[in-house]
Amino acid sequence: MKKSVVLSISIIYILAIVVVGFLGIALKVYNEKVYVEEIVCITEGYEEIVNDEFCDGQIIAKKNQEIVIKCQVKPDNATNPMLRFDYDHDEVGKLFEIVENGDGTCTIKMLDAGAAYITIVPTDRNSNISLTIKVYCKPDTIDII
Amino acid sequence: MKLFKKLMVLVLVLLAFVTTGCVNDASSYRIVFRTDGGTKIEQMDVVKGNIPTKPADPEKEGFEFGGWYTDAKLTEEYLFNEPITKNIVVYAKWIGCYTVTFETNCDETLEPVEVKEGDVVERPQLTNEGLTLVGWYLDGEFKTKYDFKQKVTSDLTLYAKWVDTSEVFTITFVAGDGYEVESQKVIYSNTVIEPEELKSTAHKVTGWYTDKELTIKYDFNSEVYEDLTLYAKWEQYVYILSTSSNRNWVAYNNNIKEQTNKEIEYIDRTQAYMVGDDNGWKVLPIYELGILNTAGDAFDEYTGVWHFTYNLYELIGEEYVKVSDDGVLVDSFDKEKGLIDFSDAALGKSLKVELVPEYLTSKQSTNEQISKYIVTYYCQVVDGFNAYTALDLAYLDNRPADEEGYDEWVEFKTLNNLDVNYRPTNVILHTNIQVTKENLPKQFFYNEGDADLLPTDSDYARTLGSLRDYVNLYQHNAVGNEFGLYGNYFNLDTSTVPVVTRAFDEITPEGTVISHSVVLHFGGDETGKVNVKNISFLGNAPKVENTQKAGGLILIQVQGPETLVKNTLSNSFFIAFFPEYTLAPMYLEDSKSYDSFNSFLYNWGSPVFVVKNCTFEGAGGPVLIQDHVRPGEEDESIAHTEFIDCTMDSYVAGSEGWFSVVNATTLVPTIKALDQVLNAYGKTFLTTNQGDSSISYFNFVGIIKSGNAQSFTSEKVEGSIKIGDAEFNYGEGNPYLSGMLDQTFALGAPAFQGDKVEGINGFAYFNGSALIGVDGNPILDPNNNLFTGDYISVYYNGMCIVFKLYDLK
Amino acid sequence: MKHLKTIVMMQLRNKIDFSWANSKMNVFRTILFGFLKFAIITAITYVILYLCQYIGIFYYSESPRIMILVVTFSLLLSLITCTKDLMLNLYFAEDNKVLITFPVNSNVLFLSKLIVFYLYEIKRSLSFLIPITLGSVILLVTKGCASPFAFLWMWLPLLMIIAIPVLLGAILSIPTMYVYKFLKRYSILQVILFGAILSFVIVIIIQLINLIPEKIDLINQWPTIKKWLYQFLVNVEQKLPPMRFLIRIIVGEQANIDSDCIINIMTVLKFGLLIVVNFALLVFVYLLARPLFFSIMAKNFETNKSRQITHKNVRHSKYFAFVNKELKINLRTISISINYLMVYIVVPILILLLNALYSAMDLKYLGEILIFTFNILIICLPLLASNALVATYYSREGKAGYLKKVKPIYALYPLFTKLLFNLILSIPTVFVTVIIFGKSVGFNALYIVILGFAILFLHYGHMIYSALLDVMNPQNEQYDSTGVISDNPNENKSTILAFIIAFVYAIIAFILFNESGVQYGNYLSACCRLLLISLLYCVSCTILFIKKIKAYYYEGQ
Repeated sequence: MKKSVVLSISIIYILAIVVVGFLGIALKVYNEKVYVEEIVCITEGYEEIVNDEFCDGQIIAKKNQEIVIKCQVKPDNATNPMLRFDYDHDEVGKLFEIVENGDGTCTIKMLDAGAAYITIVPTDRNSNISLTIKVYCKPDTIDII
Repeated sequence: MKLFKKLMVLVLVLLAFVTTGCVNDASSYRIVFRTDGGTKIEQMDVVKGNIPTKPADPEKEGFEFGGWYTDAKLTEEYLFNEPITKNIVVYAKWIGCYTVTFETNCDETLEPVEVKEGDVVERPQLTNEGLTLVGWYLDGEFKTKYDFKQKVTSDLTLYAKWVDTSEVFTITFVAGDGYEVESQKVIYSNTVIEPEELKSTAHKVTGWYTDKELTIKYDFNSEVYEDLTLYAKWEQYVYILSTSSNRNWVAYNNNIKEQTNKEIEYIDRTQAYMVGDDNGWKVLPIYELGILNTAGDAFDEYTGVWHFTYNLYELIGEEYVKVSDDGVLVDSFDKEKGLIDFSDAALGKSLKVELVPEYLTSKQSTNEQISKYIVTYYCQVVDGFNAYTALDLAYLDNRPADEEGYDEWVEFKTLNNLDVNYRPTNVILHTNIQVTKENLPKQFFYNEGDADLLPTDSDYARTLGSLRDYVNLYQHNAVGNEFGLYGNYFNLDTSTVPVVTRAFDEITPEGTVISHSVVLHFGGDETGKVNVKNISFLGNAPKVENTQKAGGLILIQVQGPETLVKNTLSNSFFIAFFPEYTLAPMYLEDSKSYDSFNSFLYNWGSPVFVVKNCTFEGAGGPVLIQDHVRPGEEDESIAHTEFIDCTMDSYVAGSEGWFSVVNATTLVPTIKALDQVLNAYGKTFLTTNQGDSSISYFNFVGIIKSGNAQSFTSEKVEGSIKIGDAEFNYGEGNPYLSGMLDQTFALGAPAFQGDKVEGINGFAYFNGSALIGVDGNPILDPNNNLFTGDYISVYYNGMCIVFKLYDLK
Repeated sequence: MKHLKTIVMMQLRNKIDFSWANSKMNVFRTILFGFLKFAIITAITYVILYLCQYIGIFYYSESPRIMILVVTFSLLLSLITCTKDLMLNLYFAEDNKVLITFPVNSNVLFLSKLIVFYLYEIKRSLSFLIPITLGSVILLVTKGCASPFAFLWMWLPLLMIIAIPVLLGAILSIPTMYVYKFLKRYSILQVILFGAILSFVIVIIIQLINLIPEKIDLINQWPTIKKWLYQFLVNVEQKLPPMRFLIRIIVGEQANIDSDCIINIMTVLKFGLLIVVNFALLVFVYLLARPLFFSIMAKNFETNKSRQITHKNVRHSKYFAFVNKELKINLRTISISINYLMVYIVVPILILLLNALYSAMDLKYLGEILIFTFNILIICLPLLASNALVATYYSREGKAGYLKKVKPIYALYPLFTKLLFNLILSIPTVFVTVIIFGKSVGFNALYIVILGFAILFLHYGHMIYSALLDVMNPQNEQYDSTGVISDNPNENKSTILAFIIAFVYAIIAFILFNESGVQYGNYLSACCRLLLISLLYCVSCTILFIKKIKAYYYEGQ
C-alpha cells in the first residue's frame, strides 16, 4: 500500500483514540462524601419503643445516676460521623445535667424526677435523620400526691 | 458444479441450525385451587414471569367467598397481582352466614336477619302498648340475657321479654360534666346494672351516690322498688408526672446554636420564631402520665391525653407583661391538642406563651413545684399559615388557572381535603418537613399507562415513577403583594423526590440529563416581592459519582418578582439559585450552599443579582454560570452578578457534573494549558491538593457565555461579574479592555484580567509565546496587578472564565 | 548534455505519465488537481499543528521540534523506498538491456538514472514532505516566530534535502542487491523472513497491550500527558543533531526556544555545508555504484534452474484452470502476497490494540457510540484501501491480458477468479476482527454475525468496483514495460473511493447506533440497517460489473 495511505490511516487511528478520550469520558467526581443514614443507640439499658411520636426509645434512670449515651452511625464509612445532642437547655441545672464528651458520647445525670428528651442528630448536613432518647426518672408518689 | 451444489446445501443446513438454536425455553408454573367443599376450580398453568388471571369465584352453599389465601390457616391473602415465580397452592376462604331469628312475643314480627360471621346483630326496636321491653334473651325461659355487643358465630334465636309498664322503674344517672349515661328500666325487685366506668382526662367515677353531697353510696346489689336518681363521684386517678418542651421547639433552639460543623450553622441566628395567625400553633408539651399501682407506692406508666391552659405575655419595651384579655389576641385554644390560634390583633406582637397543665395536685401547684410543669414558648406573630406536614406545603402553590400544573394541584388538594381557594400571605415552617412523591400531584410524574411512556421504550424501567421535566413543584406568583416562606431554622427536605430521567421529555441517555424541574418557582412581575428566610434545604442531586443525579432539582427559580433569599442553608441541588430572565432584582444574602451537581448560581439574563456574605463550596462545575440571553436581538438581556464578601470554593478536575452534561470536557485541556502562561510569573490556578493527588484541579468561580452556545463561540458576549471591586465585563466602560479584546477576538489569543486594575496595568494577552500588555510590551514584572489579586479572568473565544489565583509552590 | 536530457526525458516518460501534456484542457486539469492536493495536505498539516498548539502541547515557537520529527520520519521512509526502487531500477530493470545499446557515454547513462530518480523523488515529496514543511512554516510565520522571507528561502534547502535519500539509497542499494539476489534464489526464505518480521511485530504489540494502564482518563491526566509529550519532543531534538541541523537550514536560527527564527549568515553557511555534503555523497556513489551497475547490466542474470522436473500436461476443467493460474500468480507475486498478509493480519491486531485502549477508559453513552463508529472506521479503512491493489490485477498481466478477450469462455469467469482469493481470504479476517471488536464492547453473537456480514459485503462491493475500474481503464501497457507502475489512476481512484466510503459508512453507523440505543436500548435495528446498506452496495456493484463486462467484452455481438 502506498505511503500516504498508511500515514492517513495511522493519523485517523490516533485521532480515534484522542477523540474518544476527550469526548467520551464519563462523569467522574472526586471527594465523594458519604452521609450518615441512620443512628443506632448502643447504650446499656436502652429499650426501643415503637409507636411513640415523641421518642424512639427510653432509658430508665434513677436520680443522680450518671448515664453515658453512646450511639453508632450507619454506614460505617460515613465521612463525618460526629453527632450533635439536642436537648432543652432551659432544663439543664434543674432537671438534669449533661456533658458532651467530645467523642460522640454524652453523659447525663438526672437531678430531679422527670423526663429528659435528648435528640441525636448527625452534623454532616441539615437533614431529617434523628434519634430521640427519653431518659426517664420516675417521680416518687410522695412528690405528687 | 456438483461439488459446489453439495457445499451450498451443507452451508444452508448449518445456517438453519444456527438461527433456530435460539429458541427460548419457556417454563411455566402451576396454580392449584383448593375450595374445601365449594365448586371445583381447575388448576391453572401460567408462563413464567406472567401475572396469573383470577378465576371466577367458586360457590359454596351457606357461605360467602372471601378470597384466596396462600396458606391453610388463611392468613396471607393471594392477590393475583404479581408475576408468578413458583408452583403454588391457594385455599379458598369461606365466610359463614348465620341466621338470627327473633321471637318477638308480641303482635309485631321481625324478619330473620343474615349476619356474617364475626359481625354483630343490631338491636331491633319494638313497641308494645302497656308493656316495656326489658331485654332479649337466648332462651325461652329468659335465663341468659343476650349482649348485642358480642359477635355472631352461629345461628341464633332471640326471645323478647316484656314486662308490664307499671312494674318498671326508671333509674336516672347524673354524671355531670356533660356525660350522659343511659337511664335504665328495671323491673320491680330486680337490681340495677352498674354502668360502665366513666373516665375523663384525669378523673374517673369511683362510685354512685344517691345524694348530691355524695355521702351515701349506692349498693348495686340492692333491689329496686322505686324510681331512683344516682350521682357520680369523680376522683383523680391519672397524674401528670413531668412536662418537657415539644420537640420542634427544642430543635429550633438547637438549630440556632453555634455548631461544630460550620456547614450547618446559620449566619444569622438571632431571628425570632415566627407564628402565623391563620391556623393554630402547636405548643403541646411532651408529658408523662402515671397511675398509682395497686400497692400505691409507685406510678405505673399511663398513656393518655391531658388538658392544658395557657398564660399569654406581650413584650412591651424590654419586659413581658401579662395580657389581660386573651380573647382579643387569641381566636381559639384547643386544650387537648395544645393549639393556639392567634387573631389579627396579635399581628406584629412579640409574645410569650406559658402552657400550664390542668389537674395538678395540691402538692404540684405550689409555687416552687409548678415551675417544673410550666413550659414556655416565645414567638412573633405574622400573617400566614403554619405548616407542619408536607401536605400543608401545598399552600405554597398559588399559580393562576392558565398556567401548567394548576389543574393538577386543584385535583390533588381536593383529594386530600385541602382548601383550594386559600392563598396564605406567608407560609411558616414549624418542623422539619420531608416532601415525598405522595405529597405532590401524581401527574407531575410518569405513571403506568401514561400516553408518552411505552413499555417498549428503552428507558421504561428507570422512567416509570420519575419526575417530568419542566415541572415546578411549588409555584408562587407574586403580583402586587409580598409573600414569604419563613423556615424558623427548620429543614425542607426534597431528597426523596424522584429525579428527572427524560430531559425535554425525550428519551435521554443516563448521565446526560439537564433537569429543568424546580422546587420553588417564583413568578409574577416587578410589583411583587418574595422573601425566603431562615430555612435550610436538602436536595436530591449531590456532587457524587452517580449518573442518575444528573436529573436532580433546581431549588429556587425566579422569573419576575423582587426576591430576597436570606439566611438559608442548602445542600445537594442540581442548581441552587436560578434568576431567569428576571428584570426585578434578586438578592441572595447570608446563605451557604454545598455540593451541587451542576453549579450553585445560574444567572440567565438577569441584570441585577446581588450575592452578599454567602459561602459556596463544592459545585460540580463553576460557582456561577452566567448567560447573555438572545445576543444581538431586540429583546436581548444582559446579565450582571455582583459578589460582596463571599467565599467561593469550587474545585473541579474537569469531568464532573456540569462538564459532563453539557459536554464541556473539551474545554478543560485548553484551560489547564493556559496555566502554563501564569507559571512563568510564579502564579497558578491549578492545584493537586484536593481528592486524588494525581489529578490537577482548578477553582472555577464563574463563566460568562452566550446563552445560545454551549462552548466556543465567536459572538460578542456581554455581561459582568463583579467580585468586590473587580469587574470582569468584556470592556464595558473600560477602553483598555475593550480595545484589547477587539484585538484578541480577531487573533484568537486568550486575554487576561486581574482583579486589581489601574489604567493599563492589570490586562494582558497571550500571543503564543509571551504575555503582552495593552501597550504592546511584554509583561516581565511578576508584581504586575494581573497577579497580585485573588481572582483572575481569562477571555477566550467569546467566554469569560474567572478563576481563583494562587501562588505557585 | 543534449543526450543526457533526451535519455532523462525518455526514462521519465516511462515512469511518470505525461499524457496529460497533450491537450490544454488536460494540462489545466492536472495542474489544478495537483495544486489542490498540495493545498489540502498543507492545510491539514496547518490545522493539526494549530490544534496541538491550541490544546497546549507546545507553543508556536516550538514547532521546529515537530518538524524535526516529521522530517526524520519522512526521510527514513524515503530512504527505504529509494533503496528498494533504486536497487530494482539500477540492477534489475528490463530497460537496462535496451539502454545499454544507446549511443551515449556510459557515465551519462548512470547519471541519467540518478537524475530520473531524483526528479521522481521530488514529485513524490510534493505529496508529503514539502506540504508538511510548508504548513509548519506557515504556522511559524503567521504567529510571528519567523520572518516571511522563510517562504522564499525554504525551497532551496528542501531541494538539497530531498537529494540525500536518493544518494544514500544508491550507496545502500549495493548490499541490498546481494541480499535480494540471495532471497530470490531461495524464494521460500522470503516468506520465512517476512513471517519472522511479522511475528516480531505481533509480539511487540502484545507487549504494548500489556503496558496499557488500567485507567485512561485523558482529561484529568492531561497535564501529566502534556509533560510527557513535551519531554519526548525535547529528547527527539537532543538525540538527532543532524536533523536539527537540517531544520535550522530551512527555518533559520533560533537563539533559544522562545525566540523567533531568523535567517542569517549562519543559515547560509549551513546551507553551503549541506551542498558540500551532497557533493561528497555523489562522488562516493559514482565511485562505488557505477562500476557495479555496468557489470551487472552486462551480465545475464538469469539463474540456472536447479531442478528440471517435467510435468505431464494435465487437462483441467476450464474453470479450475483459471483458479490454478490465480493461485500460482498470487504465490509468486510477492507484492500481492505481502499485501494480503499485511492487511489481513495487521487489521485484527490494530483493532485489538484499539479496543484494549478503549476498555481502559471510563465512558459515557456518547463515548460508547463513538467507540462503535471508530471501530467500524478503522476496520473498513485498511480493508477497503487494500482493494487498491485489486484495481491493478488485470493490468498486471501486461500484454497477456488481451488474451482474456479471445478466450472461448464467458468472460466473467476468468475475471471473477482473479478476485476469488481475495474474497475467500477476507472472510476469516473480517470475522476475526469483528469478533474481537464485538467481544470487547459486549455484543452478543447475533450482532457480531450481522456486523461481520455488513463489513464483508462492503468490502466485496468495493473490491468489485475496483476490479471494474481496472477493466474499464486498463493499464496493461505501463505494466508491460516497466513491471511496476507508480501512479496508476485506477489505484488512486480506488483509494479515494475507499476513504470516502469508509467515512460515510462510519457516519451512518454513528447516526444509526445513536438512534437505536436511545430509542430501543439495543442495537439490533442499527446492525440490520447497516447490513442492508452494505448488501445493497455490494449487489449494485456486482450488477454494474456484470453489465460493464458484457458491454466491454461483447459489444457489437
